[in-house]
Amino acid sequence: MPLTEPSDLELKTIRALTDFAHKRVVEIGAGDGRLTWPFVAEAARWVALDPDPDEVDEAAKAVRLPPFPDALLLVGDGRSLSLPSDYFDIAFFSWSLC
Amino acid sequence: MASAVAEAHRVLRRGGLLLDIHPTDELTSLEVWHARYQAEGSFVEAAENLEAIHRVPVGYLDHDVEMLQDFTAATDALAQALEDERRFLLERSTVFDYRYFFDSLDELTDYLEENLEYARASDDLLERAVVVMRRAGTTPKIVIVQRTAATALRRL
Repeated sequence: MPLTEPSDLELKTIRALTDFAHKRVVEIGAGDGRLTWPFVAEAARWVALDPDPDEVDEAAKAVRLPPFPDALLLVGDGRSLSLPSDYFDIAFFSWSLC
Repeated sequence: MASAVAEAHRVLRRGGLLLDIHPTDELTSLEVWHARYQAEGSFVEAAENLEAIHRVPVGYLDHDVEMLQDFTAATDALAQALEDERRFLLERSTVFDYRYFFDSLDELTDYLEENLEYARASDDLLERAVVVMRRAGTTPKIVIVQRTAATALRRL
């Protein structure tokens, strides 16, 4: 179902699984950036992809508050990534593998 | 899904992490929550100690069968990458409840009407929710609880 704001429990669960600090992250199916903005400031690089251009536009609006120069928002399909091999530290499927 | 996992493997460096969050195929439940004692503001939604919350299960939403199958398929895609293809090692896996809070039945029904393709609530279920809400000793919240899996796989 369409998700609301990330809950504290959701964020705590993600943090218990990994640490985003100084990492290069590709987020696949990022949607409106719901799970991007809580973590993007910690990462060395964040590439957020979604196949829906409208969702990418929604996420881009949030980029300005505050700006994240190391974040890229792209329209893309997780089944065929136009990204280099052996590059990222974390590949994050945020409610998108299903 | 298998191709998405394969692509993730390709772009990850050796030792990198695949992190996945997706709902399980368990039915989504509808509950009514209220604080055991009078509380301020968003206490129920933000409660750290669930012992302070009275949770009453009401029933289950009706899901589209294909959607539940998609959730299962996502889990299967990860299992396949682990077992059959040995591309990843299981680092850690856990489950948690993703909760949607509503202040009223109208708010809940509006949300479900806008998202009918995901889940529906029967009239019987909604009537039971009304009965439970009336019995609450403090201001109740209607809660949709969706069991969610979070998994970290280490890229080999």
